[in-house]
Amino acid sequence: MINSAVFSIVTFVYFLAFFFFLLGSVRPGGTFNFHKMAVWSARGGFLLHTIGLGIRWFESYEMGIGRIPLANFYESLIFFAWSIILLFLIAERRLRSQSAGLFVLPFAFIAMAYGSFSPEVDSRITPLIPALKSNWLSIHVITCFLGYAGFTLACGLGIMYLIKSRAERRGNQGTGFHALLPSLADIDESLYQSALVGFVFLTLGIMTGSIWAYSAWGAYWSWDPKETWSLITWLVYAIMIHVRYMRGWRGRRMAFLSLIGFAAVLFTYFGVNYLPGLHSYL
Amino acid sequence: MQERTGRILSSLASVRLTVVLLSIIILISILGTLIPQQQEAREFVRRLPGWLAKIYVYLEVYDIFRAPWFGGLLGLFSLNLALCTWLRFPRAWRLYRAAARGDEGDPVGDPELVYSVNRPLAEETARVEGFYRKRGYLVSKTEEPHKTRITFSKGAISYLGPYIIHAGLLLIVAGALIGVVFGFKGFVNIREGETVDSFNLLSRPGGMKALGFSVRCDKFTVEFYETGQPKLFKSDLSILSGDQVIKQVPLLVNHPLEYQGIRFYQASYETEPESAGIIVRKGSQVLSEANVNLGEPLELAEQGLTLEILRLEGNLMDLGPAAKIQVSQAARVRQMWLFQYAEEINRVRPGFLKMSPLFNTEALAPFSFSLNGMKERYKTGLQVNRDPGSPVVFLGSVFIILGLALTYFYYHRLMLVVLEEKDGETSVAGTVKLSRYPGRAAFELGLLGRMEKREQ
Ligand code: HEM
Repeated sequence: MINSAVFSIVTFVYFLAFFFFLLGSVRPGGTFNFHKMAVWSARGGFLLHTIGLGIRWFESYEMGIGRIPLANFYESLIFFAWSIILLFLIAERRLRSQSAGLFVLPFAFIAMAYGSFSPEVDSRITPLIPALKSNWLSIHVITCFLGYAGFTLACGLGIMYLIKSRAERRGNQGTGFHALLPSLADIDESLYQSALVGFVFLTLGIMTGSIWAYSAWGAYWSWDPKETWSLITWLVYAIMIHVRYMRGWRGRRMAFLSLIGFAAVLFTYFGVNYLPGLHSYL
Repeated sequence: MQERTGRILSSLASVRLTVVLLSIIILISILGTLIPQQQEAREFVRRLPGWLAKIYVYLEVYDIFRAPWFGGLLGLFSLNLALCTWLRFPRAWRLYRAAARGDEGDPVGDPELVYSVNRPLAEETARVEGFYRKRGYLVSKTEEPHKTRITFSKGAISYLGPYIIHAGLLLIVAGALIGVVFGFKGFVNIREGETVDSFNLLSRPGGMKALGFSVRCDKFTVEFYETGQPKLFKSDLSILSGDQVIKQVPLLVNHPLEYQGIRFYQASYETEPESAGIIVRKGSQVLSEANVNLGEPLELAEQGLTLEILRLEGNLMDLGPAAKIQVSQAARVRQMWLFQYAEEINRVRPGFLKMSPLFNTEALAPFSFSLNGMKERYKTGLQVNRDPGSPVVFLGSVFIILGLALTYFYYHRLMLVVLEEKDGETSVAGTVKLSRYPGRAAFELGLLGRMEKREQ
C-alpha cells in the first residue's frame, strides 16, 4: 500500500527533525541554523503525513471499503502522531523556543515507528464491523486524540520544566543548553495551556463517546475499563485546573501533575487493552 | 454554634475537599478496573483467602461502581460541587454585573487609540458609540462640558462559565440518578415470525415486564465480509397493537428504535433448528420424505402412523444434527433419536448406535426412520431500555460545552474611550482597562483608529 510507505517516510522525517533539534541544542549558533532546519523538517513531515492520511482514505475507496482512516489501532497511532505534530507546530510559533521539539517530537516519532514497524500492529485497511458503523466514529476519535495530543504536549513541556528547574536549583543560570530553553514562567504557562486544550478536547471526546455508546449499546456509561480510565484521566486534569486556579499551584507541581496525567493517558490508550471490556477496537 | 455550622459548610464547599474526593474517586476507579468485576468476580473470589473474600463480598467490591458506598462518595462529591457553586455564585454574579456596566477603576497603561478629527464632539461620540455597539459592546457614558467618557464592555458573561460547567455536571449526576431510579434495562429474544409483548428485566433475574404493545420479528439478517468479520446484523421488526401493525422498521446496530419511551437495540442473535426433513420407510419402500416442523405432527393416514418431532439439536454429542421423534401406530408408541450422519457414525464408531434403545431407528418395525437435513431459523436478541434521565444528561453535557466555551474561548474586555473637544477638533483616546487577553482587546480597540486613518 502506498499510504504505509508514505507513513514510513514520515516517521523518518520526524526523526530527522528531532535530530536537527538535537544538533541545534548541542551546537547553537554554528554555521547551520539547525533550529530552522528542524522546524522545516517537522512542517514538511506534517504535510506529507496529511497527504498520507488522504491517500489512505482514497485507497480504502479503491479497495471497495471506503471509510475514514480512523478505525483501528494502526490508524489511531498515525492520527495520534498527526495531532501531536499539529499542536506542536502551533505551540512552537507561540513559544518561540529553540528546543521544545526535543521534548515533544519523540512522542510523535515513537507512535509512528510503533505503528509502522511493530509486527503486533496490523496496518491493513479492514472493513468496519457493525458497531463501528456510525457517524460518531470519526468525531469521537478526532476529539479524543486531539485531547491526548494536548496532554502529550503538556507532558513534554513538563519534562522540559523539570530539567530546567533542576539546573537552576543547582545554580546554572542559563548557560549552554539551558539558555536555549524558554523561561520557567513561559514553560509553565504553555504547559497549562496545552493541558487545557487537552481537557477541552477530552471532554468533547468523552461526550461524543457517550452519545455513541447510547446509540450502539443502549447505555451512555457502562463503567467499562476504557470509559473508566478516560474518566480517571479527565479527573486528574480537573484537579490540575482547580489547584492552579484556586490554590495557586505553579511550576514543579504542575509539571509533576502533567506527568501523572500523561501516565493516565497512556493507560487509557494502551494499558486498557490488557483488561477485559467492550472497547476492543482501538 | 452558628460559627461552627459556618465552618463545616465552608469546608464542605472547599476546593481542598474537592481535590481529596476526586483523588479517592480516582483510586477506587483504578481498583475497579484492575479487580475482576461482575461475571469474572465469581471465579476470582474463590481464589481469595477467607477474610479477604469476606471484605470483597461485604463491600460489594465485585461490582464496585454500583456499590452503595461508591454512590455515597459520588453523592458527597455532588454536595461539595453544589455547595461551592451555590455559595460562590452571588459573588460571580456581582462581578459579572459590575463588569458588564464597566464601573471600575481609572484608565491605566498607554492609550491604544489616539486620533483627532474635525467633527463636533456629539457627532464623533455617536460615531464611536455606534462602531462598538455594532460589535456587541455594552456602552455606558458620562458627559461633561466638552468631554465625554465612554466605557465599552463585552464578554462579561465569561465570568459565569465555570458556574455553567458546574451546573452541567450536577445535571449529569441528576440525570444519571433519574435513570437509575425510574429507568429499566432488559432483553428479549424473538424468533423469526414470533411476537412478544414482554421482556426480561436485568435487575431481577427471572423478572418479566410487559411492554404495553407487541413486537414481531419478521426477518433477521446477518452478513459477513470475506474475512469472516461480521458486516451487518439486522432485525426487521413490526410494532403491533393487538393485531394491528403500527409500524415496520429495520433495527440495526447503532440505529436503535424508540417506541413509547422504550428503546430497542440490536444486541445479539442465535440460530435455532426449526424443521427437519424426515424419511419414513416401510421395508425398503419410501413412504414419505416430508419436511416436518417442530410442534406440527405428521400423519400418514393410510398406515395409521403419527410422527412428531420432540427436539432438534444442531450438534448432538459432537455427532452432528440429530432429531428426537415420537412415532405411534395402533397402540405402539416409540421415541428415538435420528442422526443425520448415521452412516458415517456407524463407520467411524461401529456399535455406538446400538448402545441405547433410543438410537434404534427400527423400533417400530416394519417402519424405519432417518433424518435428511435440518432447517434453521434465527432468533434475534434485543436489548430493551428505558432511561428517562438521558435528556437531562444530554442537557448537562450541553451546559458543560457551553461553559467551557465561555470560560476558555470567550473573554471579558473593558475599554475606556475619552473624547475631548478643543478648537472645533475632537480628540479621541482609548485604553484597555481590563482583559484576560489585553493584546487581543487592544487590537480591537485600535480598529477604529485604523479605520479613521484610512478614511483620512
Ligand atoms: C470534575 C468536576 C469538575 C470540573 C470538570 C470542573 C471544571 C471547572 C473549570 C473548567 C473551571 C474554570 C477554571 C478556569 O477559569 O480556568 C472551574 C472553576 C472552579 N471550580 Fe470547578 N470543576 C469541577 C468540580 C468542582 C468542585 C467539586 C468544586 C467545589 C469546590 C469546584 C470549584 C470551582 C471553583 C471555586 C472555580 C472557580 C470559579 C470562579 O472562577 O469563580 N469545581 N471548574
